[in-house]
Amino acid sequence: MKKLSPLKLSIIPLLMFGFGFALVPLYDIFCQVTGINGKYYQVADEASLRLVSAQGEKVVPLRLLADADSRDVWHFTPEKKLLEIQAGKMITTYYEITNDQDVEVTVQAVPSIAPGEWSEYLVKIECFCFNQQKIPPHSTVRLPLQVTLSSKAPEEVSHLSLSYRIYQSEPLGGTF
Amino acid sequence: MSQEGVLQGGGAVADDEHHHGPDKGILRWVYTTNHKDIGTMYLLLALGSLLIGGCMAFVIRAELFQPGLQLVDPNFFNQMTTMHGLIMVFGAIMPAFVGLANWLIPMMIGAPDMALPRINNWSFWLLPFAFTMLLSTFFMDGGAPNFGWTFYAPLSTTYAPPSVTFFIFAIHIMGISSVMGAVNVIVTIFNMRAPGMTFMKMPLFVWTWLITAFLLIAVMPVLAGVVTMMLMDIHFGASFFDAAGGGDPVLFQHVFWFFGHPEVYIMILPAFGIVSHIISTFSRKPLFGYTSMVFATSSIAILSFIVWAHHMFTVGIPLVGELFFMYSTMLIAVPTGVKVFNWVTTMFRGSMTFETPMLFSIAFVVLFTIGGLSGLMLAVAPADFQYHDTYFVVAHFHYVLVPGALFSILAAVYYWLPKWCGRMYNEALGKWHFWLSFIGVNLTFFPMHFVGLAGMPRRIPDYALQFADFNAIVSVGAVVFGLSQLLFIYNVWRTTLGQKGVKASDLVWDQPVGLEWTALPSPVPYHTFQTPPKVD
Repeated sequence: MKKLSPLKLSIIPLLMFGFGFALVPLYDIFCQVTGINGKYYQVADEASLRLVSAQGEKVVPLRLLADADSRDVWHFTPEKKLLEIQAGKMITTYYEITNDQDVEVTVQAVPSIAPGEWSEYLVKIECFCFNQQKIPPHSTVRLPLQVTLSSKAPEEVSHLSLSYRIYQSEPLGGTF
Repeated sequence: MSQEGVLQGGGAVADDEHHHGPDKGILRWVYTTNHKDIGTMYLLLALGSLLIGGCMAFVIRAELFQPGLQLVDPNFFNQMTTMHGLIMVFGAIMPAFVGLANWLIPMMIGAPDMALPRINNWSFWLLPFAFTMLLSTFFMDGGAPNFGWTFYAPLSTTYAPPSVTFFIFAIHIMGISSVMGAVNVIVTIFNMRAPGMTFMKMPLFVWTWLITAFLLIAVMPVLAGVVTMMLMDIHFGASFFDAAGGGDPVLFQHVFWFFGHPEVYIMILPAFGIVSHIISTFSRKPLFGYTSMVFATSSIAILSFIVWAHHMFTVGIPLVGELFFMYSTMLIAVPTGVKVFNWVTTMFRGSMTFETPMLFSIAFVVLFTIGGLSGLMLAVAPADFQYHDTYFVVAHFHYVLVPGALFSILAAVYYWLPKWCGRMYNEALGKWHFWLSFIGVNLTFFPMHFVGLAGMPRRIPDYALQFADFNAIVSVGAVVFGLSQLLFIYNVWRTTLGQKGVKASDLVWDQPVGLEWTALPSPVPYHTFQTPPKVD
């Protein structure tokens, strides 16, 4: 009878340990491929720019939101709460962030688009969420955002919402 | 190094006499590689954890006996719920099943010991250190882990007490122990079956443990992975679960439940094996549908890998995901239903008697089915938005873990104890233990369904006034259930160390099936099956 070697069997747990870490990119890839989850990583590349340069007719209302949290030490609001976007037309708008503290804070904005299944049709050309932002003490900074509607957007796309949550990028300090 | 090897080899030649008994003194337990000794140690560790975790449950129920904050502050309450869950899952249920596997698998397949006896010793001895480390967090600055046994990030990373690092290493050590134990079980079953014992002749406890062991080696490393990611987030500036650095807190839940759902089957599949043996013996009939039992167990194990997100219906997964995980979860009811059908059919028109192990097994079938049905209710995604994070969930998983997994372990100890130690336990005490446990467990966990459906959230030290009456009943039930376990401890103590009780015959019960009954005397000698039995 052929014996099962324990060392060979140990390959399974070792591979599964690696698989646990592989899940990190795998989930992202899955979300990107299927476009579900509202977590869409579209950065304007040449192809999408060409697509949006085709003149479109459709106008879709875009609601801009800022998610607040009780722990926030800044004020963060969109300058305009409602915009109309149209395929082929760039819209530039701003969010405002105010830092009332005595120290500079570094923040990272994380976007979320709803409804999730239409998230791929909102194209961000320029967004403050692409980079970390440094907010000097006692100052207000205008954060630019440039968006357009993809010409691939089907008829049933009737509304979109773009919301941002701001996170402090450095550890809150002191704990560890 | 080679010098040492030669010396050891020489020693072994000089010491070639067969040992027929264990070494003397405490070091016997430190050095032992005997599967029966290691099985006993695992079972004692599980009993110790059960008592410690039970004391934490008492603190929780004492605080919840009436609304308002009476005994403990909310942070300590959170530490209690967290540690109760961790200790019961990783310290009581899992080691108890490993202990039973150690005792029973070699005797059931006609093997002299486990395939890797030294690894076996090491697997066990890692655990006391892991749990000492975990429990020591109570005495650290900031207290023990307080983020729930599911340790969702960022509660367990950004907002965790400093002791979380010790928690992470304790999980690592337990994981290594579990994986080594599982590898040992698989290799033993594959390589050491007696001649003639084909896979489809293996007793069901061996089958269910084989499948459990495969689940263990597949998912415990994923748990190790997720706590390693936490460690990196906390100490090395990574941001796996930190949105500010490009990570995602929901990712934590995905990876955790990819481990977590197979884990719940790890805690129930060996129980299926145990009750299959006991129900067949006390119905005096062969088990109905052996083959379908094997396939049902395998299907449950395979399905467990594709249902994890039913724990996360409310995190905002897309509709197609909700539907997929809802239907795949409901599919598990089919093989589980096959099993329940087989147990009932085994009892049907059997010459049933109701000794303590049988009582616990019948209670298992009935109450585990109740837990399974509330699981189906939770699987309905649109309804789950109401049930999520309420006491209904607490009622559900306690029904499958306490009268499910724990009752099967108690049944197994009553059933095989006479074979292990050669004496019958006290049947009257056993029946008292059963009935008090049965009443206590239902008094404790059934009203939780009602308060859960009415909206009482889990993991809170205080609650709205309308839940007061049911919570008082639950707390009384918990005291009844908890204290009745002392009867069990006394019964086992007087049978084993106390040497009381009538001597058991070699068969112990009427016509039990299996090598451990038919081929070995009671009590079983220290070494068994040094020449393999022949199975036809």
